[in-house]
Amino acid sequence: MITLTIDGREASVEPGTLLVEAAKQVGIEIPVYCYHPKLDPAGACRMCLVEIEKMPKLQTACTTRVAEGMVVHTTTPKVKEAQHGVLELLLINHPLDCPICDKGGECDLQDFTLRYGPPSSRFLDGKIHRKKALDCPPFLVIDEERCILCQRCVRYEDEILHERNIVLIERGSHMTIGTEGRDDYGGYYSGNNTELCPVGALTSRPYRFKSRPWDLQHTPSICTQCALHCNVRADVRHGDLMRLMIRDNPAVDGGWLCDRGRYAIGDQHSVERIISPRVRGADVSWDVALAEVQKALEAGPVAGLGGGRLTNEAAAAFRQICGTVDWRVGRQVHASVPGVPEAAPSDLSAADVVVLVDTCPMEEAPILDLRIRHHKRVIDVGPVPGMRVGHAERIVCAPDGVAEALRGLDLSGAKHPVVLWNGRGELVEAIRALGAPVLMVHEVANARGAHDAGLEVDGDILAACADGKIHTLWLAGANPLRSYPADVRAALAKVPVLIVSDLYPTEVTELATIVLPVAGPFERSGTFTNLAGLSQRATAVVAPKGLSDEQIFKRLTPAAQPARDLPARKPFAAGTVLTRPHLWSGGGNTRFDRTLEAARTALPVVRVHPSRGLAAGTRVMINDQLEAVVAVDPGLHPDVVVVPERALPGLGADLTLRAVVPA
Amino acid sequence: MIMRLLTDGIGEVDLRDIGVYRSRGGYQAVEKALRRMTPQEVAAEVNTANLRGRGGAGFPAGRKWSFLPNDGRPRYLCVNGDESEPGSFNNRMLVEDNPHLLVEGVICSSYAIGANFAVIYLRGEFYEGAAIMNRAVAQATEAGYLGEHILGSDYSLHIVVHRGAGAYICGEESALLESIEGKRGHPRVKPPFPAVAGLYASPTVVNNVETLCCVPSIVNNGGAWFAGIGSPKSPGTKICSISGHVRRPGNYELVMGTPLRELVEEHAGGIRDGHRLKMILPAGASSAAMTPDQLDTPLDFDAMAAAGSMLGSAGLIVCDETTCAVKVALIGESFYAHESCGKCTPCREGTKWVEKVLARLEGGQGQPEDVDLLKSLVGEIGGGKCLCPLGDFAVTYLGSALRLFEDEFIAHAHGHTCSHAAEVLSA
Amino acid sequence: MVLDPAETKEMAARYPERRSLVLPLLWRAQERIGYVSDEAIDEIAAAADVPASEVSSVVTFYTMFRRSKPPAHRLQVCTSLSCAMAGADDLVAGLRAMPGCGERFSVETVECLAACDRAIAGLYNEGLVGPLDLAGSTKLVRDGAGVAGPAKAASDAAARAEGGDGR
Repeated sequence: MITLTIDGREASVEPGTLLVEAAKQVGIEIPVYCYHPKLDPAGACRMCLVEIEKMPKLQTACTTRVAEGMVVHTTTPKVKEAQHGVLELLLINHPLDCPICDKGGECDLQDFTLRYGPPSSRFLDGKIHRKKALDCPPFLVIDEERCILCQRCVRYEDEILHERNIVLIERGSHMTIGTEGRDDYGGYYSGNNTELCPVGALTSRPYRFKSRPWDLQHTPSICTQCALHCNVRADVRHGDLMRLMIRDNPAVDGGWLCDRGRYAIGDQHSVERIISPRVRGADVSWDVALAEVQKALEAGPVAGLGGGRLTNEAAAAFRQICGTVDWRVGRQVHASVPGVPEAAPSDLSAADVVVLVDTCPMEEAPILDLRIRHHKRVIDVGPVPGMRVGHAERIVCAPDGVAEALRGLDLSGAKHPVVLWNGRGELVEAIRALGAPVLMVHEVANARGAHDAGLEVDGDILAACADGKIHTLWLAGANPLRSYPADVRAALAKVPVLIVSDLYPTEVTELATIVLPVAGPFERSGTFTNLAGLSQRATAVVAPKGLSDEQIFKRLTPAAQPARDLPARKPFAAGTVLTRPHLWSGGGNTRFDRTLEAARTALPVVRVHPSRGLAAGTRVMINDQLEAVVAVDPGLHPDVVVVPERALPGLGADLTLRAVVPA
Repeated sequence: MIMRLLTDGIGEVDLRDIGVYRSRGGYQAVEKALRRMTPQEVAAEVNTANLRGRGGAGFPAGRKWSFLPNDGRPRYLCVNGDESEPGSFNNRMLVEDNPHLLVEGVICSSYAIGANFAVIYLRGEFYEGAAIMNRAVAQATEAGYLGEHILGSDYSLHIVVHRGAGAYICGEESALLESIEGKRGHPRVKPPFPAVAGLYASPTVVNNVETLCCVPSIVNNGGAWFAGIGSPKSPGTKICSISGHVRRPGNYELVMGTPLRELVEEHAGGIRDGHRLKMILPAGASSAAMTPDQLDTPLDFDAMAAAGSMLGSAGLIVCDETTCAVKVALIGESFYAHESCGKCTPCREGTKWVEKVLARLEGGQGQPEDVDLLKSLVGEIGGGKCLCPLGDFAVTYLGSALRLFEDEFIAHAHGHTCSHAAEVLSA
Repeated sequence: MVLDPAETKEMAARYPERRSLVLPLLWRAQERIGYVSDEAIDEIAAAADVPASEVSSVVTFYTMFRRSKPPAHRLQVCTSLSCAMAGADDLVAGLRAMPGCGERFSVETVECLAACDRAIAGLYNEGLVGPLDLAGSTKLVRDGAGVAGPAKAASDAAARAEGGDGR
């Protein structure tokens, strides 16, 4: 440990600690703009100049590392003069639009000007005017005048994302930030910029003019858009959820949120939301609806599908009520690889070799991807590239050749290998043979919780439905018509009573005998277990529209006759048409969220290998059903065509692409 | 006293031709170093020579080389030929007229530090210099002085001529490295210094063109010989670029310690007819002005510093009495505001503000408070508050002028345009 | 294609890391088509393995890279200290008052060209010229003719200019 003195207080800190962090540890604030604990020191804003004894010039606390016996002063006249100077210079071109700035009230420029700034400005010459309120779709608004050029955003784009969606433009007093060469942001992690920005230069479009910071109530919760469960702070104003902010759990999110996690909260006010229980098309009271449900639970063999979107408590109750329940309603069939150790997200950061098994973390659990982008060695196995940013050794194989490709891998030289897999296909043996810890990337948020609660059965519930062996099927937050890899419309039609509990009218609520509107995310409390087995609490922050799943189950008594003797589960056909998860293709409630419209491409993207001879941007009809736009991806297996999962429900294993002339 | 160590033959023969260069003893230092000396011996001679960096800082090259850690990472030599300080033009002459001397210096120095890859970074405006330098590198490669197994030794060296593209800041060594790496020329936070984490985060030495041009004669004649030339603490020669209101502007290679007066009055022919000296900016626009009473200052690093200014890269701008001190400040500040990279606050915002105030003053729109404001801004920007020295450079002359010629600033601040203003531009 | 892939490959072999290709390839693109086009930026980004937005950002930092085609006759006059003291501002004002300025030819100001001994110094297209006066520079921008001057490089530049070296 290194001992030093800051403003007369003795600090004992790890060697290598930056002065600004050492000061924080003993309760001394050194004002900073460019410095951010998650970014490399830049020494750019010069706000943190301090006096260090035996050094003739002031030093920046954000770049100076502690040394034994160092004596530091942060409040001397020289330091104060320097702070006055920097603030005076930062303010000369800063607009006086604080009253209409979303950052007002939580702005470091406001706060430090009050605490450390000069009383008035001596600047007589005209301010430099720049572009304001620049739309940067899908979610950002850029204000060049407010920008103090701390370069946090630019460094985040470089150091954390390796993407550079926001860059510096021009130089000197002409310098600005912006998306040079394009009109939109173009990435999945833009919102973090709004929290990194110490001023109102980068703000969120969905939150624009929505609230004042002092009107917000903060509640810790978690995001349940994917299986990672990033920690969030839910900010509520007068009962409405206004925004989600980073809560920084190093074991989970590393202090970042993806845009879907941050911004997919706009469905709260969707007019499409189901608000009344319905029985055979007629609105009824909860008492009537639940009595109908109870009757159905007692009328014959009962099974439930879903649970991957429920809290652990609700999932357990679902199983208790239906008896026979499976959370697996999509392509994922395995929730674990028995016999190998589990890896945690932080292991991913420390890994020397990462193997992606036909898995794309950026689409499936976006924040995980940030942990592997800087890695020297990522091995990306499968017919579709799983690594979008950064470098990977690509092992291309046919859709049914993944197991064989894995058998060719030798990880014996790796010290800390981690395998990422989304549980699709029959690969358990091949993955176990790799001998490396596995981190499962589940396709629904609480798959792990549902799995742990025993919501899995041997056999195929939907096949049992098709065989006419199920009297009552309950779909809880599940829509197999969109998520199941085969067309199950006929199977659902054979079920005498179909109960659907969900938030929105979907393909399955149309078929349902009984529809139960349930409380959505942030409307119900409970625990969720993330992909690494960590259970965390999601807290209700707004009033529910409907009962929670848990409340519904608790008002019922268990089914008299859970379904038994289910037909065996058949492997899904591995055709050449592959559906792959896509962050914005409409999973969960996102297709009912108007604020996300800007993030969705106008047309689904169909990815093809260059050997198909289709030019990027060509419009095609898929199976004469869905218009899509072609993207050419040389990383694909030549035979395969990839469409975003859930963009085209009930897509068969074969597909035709017909080029169309745009209207 | 003139001594032509680096400029010998320039203007007389075409040293750009490797045959001519070799006929005058060129590449003997490479032969000697690679055939008869170890790298350590070459470095030791440069250390003995006390060769101080000609780029401006005057830091001993031998010591700079000694900071490279021995950790197995590749090492690089980068040549700073981004000469951009207003008033300096000696590197351009060396590059255009004696390119093989630089190549020879780079080979000897790279050998000494164990670098197998060297970059000669030339400012973008040196179109012709880059072509000449590329030809020289090609000729040297063909002659076996560059490439694999130079002169049959185990030593290999490849040189790339890398062009800047219009950015003064790339003369700052870490910005230069960023520029070679294909980035914007923003200075890096130091430490780590380039010796530890330079080009591609590997140990790197950055030396000025003129510094490296001194190395062949040190190898040929020994460090002790070089140390015996000129001022004991600043040995060797210095090519002084002199311009402005003198009769014979140009480059003059002088023994270190030659009095400023000799350069101005003898070599440069004195002040133009009918005029008298007002001030000299001895290290270009970024240096504190010196006055006629300081003409006997020896031209070396320490004496110039002791006189309150600096030798820098010895780009002397001489101003006669028709020159307006405020106008000079404005021209200088416009330059720094234009060349500020924008990374750090005081330089980016401050230089522009100072430029605006000076433009008002110069245009007769000054306010009485402006003189105090300028003095205060000199303090806000200067004194080591910026990330790199550009901030200090931007206010050094202004600070000196506010002291030496305060009356001119006060007159401007009271709405008078300078009586010299009309003349200064029609000289 | 703006760049020649074979040449790019050859240039890449000279550097230990590909990202160092950014500036050399920007120069190459500008030499080939007179400016840096969007297409060139995409090609350079791919060759140097950096995002295109970063290449764009780099272009805006360096004053010598252009994003549009310049006029055939382009005179850049130094207005830094020694040249300003020799009357550079008046020269620029005089040239800019000439008919055709901005269309047939352009007159720009630049910072110090490291040619203070031949103040007023300038760059005519890619050649260093100076000392410049109004008469000589008028001829230059009108018809690309060389200026008489004692300096070697100036006459070299004029010679190249006469040879139509206006890439």
